[in-house]
Amino acid sequence: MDELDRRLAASRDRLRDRVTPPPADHLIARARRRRTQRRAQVAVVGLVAVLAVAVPIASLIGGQHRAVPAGPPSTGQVVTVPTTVTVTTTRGPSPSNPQSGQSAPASSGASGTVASLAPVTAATTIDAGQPILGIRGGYELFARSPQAVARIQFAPGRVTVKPAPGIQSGAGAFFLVGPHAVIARAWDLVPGFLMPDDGLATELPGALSGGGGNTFPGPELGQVWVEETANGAESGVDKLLLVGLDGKKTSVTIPMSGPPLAPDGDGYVLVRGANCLYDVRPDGRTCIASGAELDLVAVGPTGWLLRPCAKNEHCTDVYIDRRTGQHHQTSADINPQQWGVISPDGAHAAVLVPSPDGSDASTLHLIDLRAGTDRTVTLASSPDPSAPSYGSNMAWSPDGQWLFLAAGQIIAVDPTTGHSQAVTGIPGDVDYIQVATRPAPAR
Amino acid sequence: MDDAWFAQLYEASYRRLVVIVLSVSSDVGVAEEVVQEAFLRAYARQSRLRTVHNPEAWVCTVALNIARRRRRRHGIAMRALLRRAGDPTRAERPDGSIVVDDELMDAIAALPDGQREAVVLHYLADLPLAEVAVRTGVAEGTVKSRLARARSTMQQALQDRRPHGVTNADLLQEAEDHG
Repeated sequence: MDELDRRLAASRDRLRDRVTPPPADHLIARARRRRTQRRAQVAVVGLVAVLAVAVPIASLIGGQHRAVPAGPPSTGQVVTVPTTVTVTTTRGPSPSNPQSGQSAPASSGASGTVASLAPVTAATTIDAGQPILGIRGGYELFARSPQAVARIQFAPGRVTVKPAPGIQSGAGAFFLVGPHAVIARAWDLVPGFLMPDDGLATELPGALSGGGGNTFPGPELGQVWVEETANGAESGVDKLLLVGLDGKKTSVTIPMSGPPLAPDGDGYVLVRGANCLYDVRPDGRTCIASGAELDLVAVGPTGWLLRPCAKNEHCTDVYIDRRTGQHHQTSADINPQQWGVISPDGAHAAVLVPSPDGSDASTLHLIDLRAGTDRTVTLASSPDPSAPSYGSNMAWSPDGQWLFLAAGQIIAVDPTTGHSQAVTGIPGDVDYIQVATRPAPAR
Repeated sequence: MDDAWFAQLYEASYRRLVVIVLSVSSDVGVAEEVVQEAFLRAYARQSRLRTVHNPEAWVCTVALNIARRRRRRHGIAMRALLRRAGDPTRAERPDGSIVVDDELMDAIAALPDGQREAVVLHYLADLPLAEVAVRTGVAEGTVKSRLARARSTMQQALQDRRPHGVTNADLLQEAEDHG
C-alpha cells in the first residue's frame, strides 16, 4: 500500500467513524414543520386566488347577495349496469386456493375499507344484453379489488365478478392482463394469483410464482418482464426475463445492473442512469432525455411525459414523441408520486395528484399532448395516491376514448370533456383498486 | 406515515450517502446538509419512496441532484474548500466538526468530474468498481482508467508543495479576484 492508498484509507475510515446522523426524530420533526408551512402557503395562495376571481365577479353583479345553488359534483353521473336480464352464478371457491371467496384485507394504503363490504363468494355474471356506457368498441376492462376481479365486456353488456385471493402485501401488487387471463403479482414475496377467463383463481404458475419485485408488461399481450436477482447481489436485479402468463420463460432477457424505474409504455422498461433516462430493450438502450433533474410523469406507447428542471429551477412537463424524438412543451407542471398513463393514440396523458390536505379528493390532470394544455378534474371519489398501484389505478381504453380509474368505484372519464361517470351496479359491492384493459379476445 | 420505517432507512443510509455526495460537493459539512435535505424531501414523498425497489438509491439520486445544483449555484467545490482557510494544522477543529485530510481532499476536488466521482465512490464510499460504473453510467473499464489517471494526478499534487507563506486565505482571495 503506497502513501496515497494509506491516506485514502485513513480518510475513508475517519469519515465512516465521524459522520453521525442527527437524531431521526429531529429530522422527522423538521419535515413535519416544513409540511405544515407549505400547507399554510398553499392555503394563502388559494385564498388570494379565490378573492382575485370573486371580487371582480361580485362587482359585476352589482354587489347583490344571492344564494347560488351548488353545481353538480364532478363525479356526478352514475351509470348503473342493468341487472334485470340474465344472471348466472357459479358457486364454489377456487380448488387450488382455499382463500378464494373469503374476505381479505386490502393491501396497505388501499382506498376505503373492506370490512363493511359484502364479500364476493361466488362467480357471478350479469348479462345485460346492451352496451355499457354506450361503448361498442371491442375491448374489455378488468378491475381488481382485495376480494374479487371484475371483467366488464362493454359491447355485449356483460359483467363477470369472481372471488380472488387477497394479496396481503404492504408493498402492493402489479395487475396485468393477458389474452385469456389476468394476474396479480405482489412486489414482495407474498403469493399472487392468476385468474383465467374461463375459471377461478389459481396460484401463479412457473416462473411467475417465485421472486417478486417489479412485474412490467412485455412487448406482446400475455408477456411480462420479471426480475432475476443474482445470488448475493446487494444491488438486486441483474436481468429481466420475459415470461408468459402461463409461467413459461422465453429466451429473451434484458441485462440489468439494478432495478428498472418503470415500464416504457411499449413493452420494455425505463432505467435511470447517472445523467440520463434510458429506454432499455434486449438489443440495447437509448437515452431519451438527459439531465440531473428529471422526473417521470407519465408513460405510454407513443412516448413519455417528463419533467425536466432548468438551472433556475423552473420545471415544465415535456412530452417526448417516441417515434420522432421531438419534444413538445406543455403548460403542465406536475410531479406525481406515481407515474401517470398516456393514451394509446398519444392524445392525452392522465396524471393523478393527491389533494395537498390529504383528503380523499384528488386532482386528475388530463393533458392534451397535441395542444399542450392541462385540464384538471377534481374527483370526489379517487384512488388513494399513496397506495402503491404501479400505475395501474388508471387504464385507457385501446381507442383512447375513455380513461378508467379504480377509485373504490370504477370511474370512466371522457378525456375530451373531463366529464366523469361512476359505473355502479356491479355485483358484489367491493372496493376496486386497480384496472387494466385489453382488446376483446378473438372468437 | 410509518416513521419507524423512515427512521430506519435514514439511520442505515446516512453515512454512506454523505460520503457518496462528497463526489460532488467535496465538503463534508455541505454533504451532510445535502443529505439531510434529501431526507426531508423523501419524507414528504414517502408514499412514492415506498414503491421503489431501492429507497436508498432514490434518496441518493435526490441528494446528488441537490448537490449538483448547489455546486452550480455556489461555484466550484474548490472554493468551498478554500473557505475553510485558517485551518493550517489540518487537525480537528475546535467545534468538533470533521476534518479529513485536507491536502488529499484538495487534490480530489481538483480532479475532473468523472475522475473525482470515481475516486470518492470507490475509495471513500468503498463501493465496488461495478457499482461505481452503474452509478456514474460508464463501463467498468472506464472507471478503472479514470482511477488510474486520478491516482497519478493526485500523487503529483500531493508531492507538490505550496510556496512557503502562501495560505489558504491567500488562495481564496486570489480565486475570488479571478472569479
